[in-house]
Amino acid sequence: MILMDEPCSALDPIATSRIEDLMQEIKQQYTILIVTHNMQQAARVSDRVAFFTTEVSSTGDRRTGVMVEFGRTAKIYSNPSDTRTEQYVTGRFG
Amino acid sequence: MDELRKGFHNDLDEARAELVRLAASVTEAIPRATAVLLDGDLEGADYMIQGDDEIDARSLDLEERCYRILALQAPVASDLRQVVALLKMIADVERSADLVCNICKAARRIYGHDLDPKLRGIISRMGEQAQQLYTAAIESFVENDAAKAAAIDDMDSYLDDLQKQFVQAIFESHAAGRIDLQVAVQLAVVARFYERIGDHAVNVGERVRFVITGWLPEHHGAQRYRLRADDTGEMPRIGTVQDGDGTP
Repeated sequence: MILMDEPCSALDPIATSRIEDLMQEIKQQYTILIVTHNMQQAARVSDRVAFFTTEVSSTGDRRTGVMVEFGRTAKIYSNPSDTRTEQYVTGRFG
Repeated sequence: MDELRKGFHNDLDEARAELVRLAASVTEAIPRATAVLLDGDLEGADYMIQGDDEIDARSLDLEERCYRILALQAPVASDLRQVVALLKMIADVERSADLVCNICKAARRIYGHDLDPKLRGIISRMGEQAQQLYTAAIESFVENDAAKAAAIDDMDSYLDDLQKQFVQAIFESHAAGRIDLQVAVQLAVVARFYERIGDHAVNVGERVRFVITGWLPEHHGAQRYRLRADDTGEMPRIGTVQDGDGTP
């Protein structure tokens, strides 16, 4: 498994495309786990998407990371099951 | 939390509003076309036919606006369904306006021929029903009401029945020698125009359901097709790949 944490941050579009092409190539042999804040990149390169957010505790400022939804990329970007995912991918909250 | 992409969502709302205005123009045109037909109003017919150019221009503008949204904003999820549905609905509304226009053209062709009260009565009812269907379609769109959108299909059955009654009444009127063959054919075509306007309203309703749920009635047929293909062992022509994850 290859872990990629923001592999294209601050790169220009051509360099980004090269990395994305490489990902398509090596996914035949490796599972790739990529963290990205670029929604379009997640849509282009992934087969499955997990959407994470933070929940703030009602009694203090404690923040907890939660996974909201995990599913096929096409489903997440066309008709997600969770309202929070829907609002995030459509830019209604961030 | 604060809404992001406000400008984009305003563009989308404006495109939706323009579709409502377009559909409202068609809804208002239906009773006017019926009046033109029943009154033999040649001047009114010309006015209505020329008015269709404006609908064409506005439909094109709205279509281009949707292309711009797709190209520049890359909408996803419900926003994407919204834009795709708008593009489909524009085609339905524009075609309905053409059909209204066709009713006016038929009015010119049957000018000077008297129609039976029975025929006139059914024409009135077809016009009213087509208008009600369109009104319900727009309301379901504005209110995002999937239940109201689903009810349009049943309303359309009544319009289909009226069309059948009308064709029967045309036969009777022609057999009794009250209308000649040319007029009978024109009237049958007019009935078809009203019936098709109803079908386009049903399409709009189906697109409203698609925006809300991501589901279309055609999914039933597609599912049947895939099941049949499985029974016969033949490969369906439509892809059934669910994952597409490229794993070997």
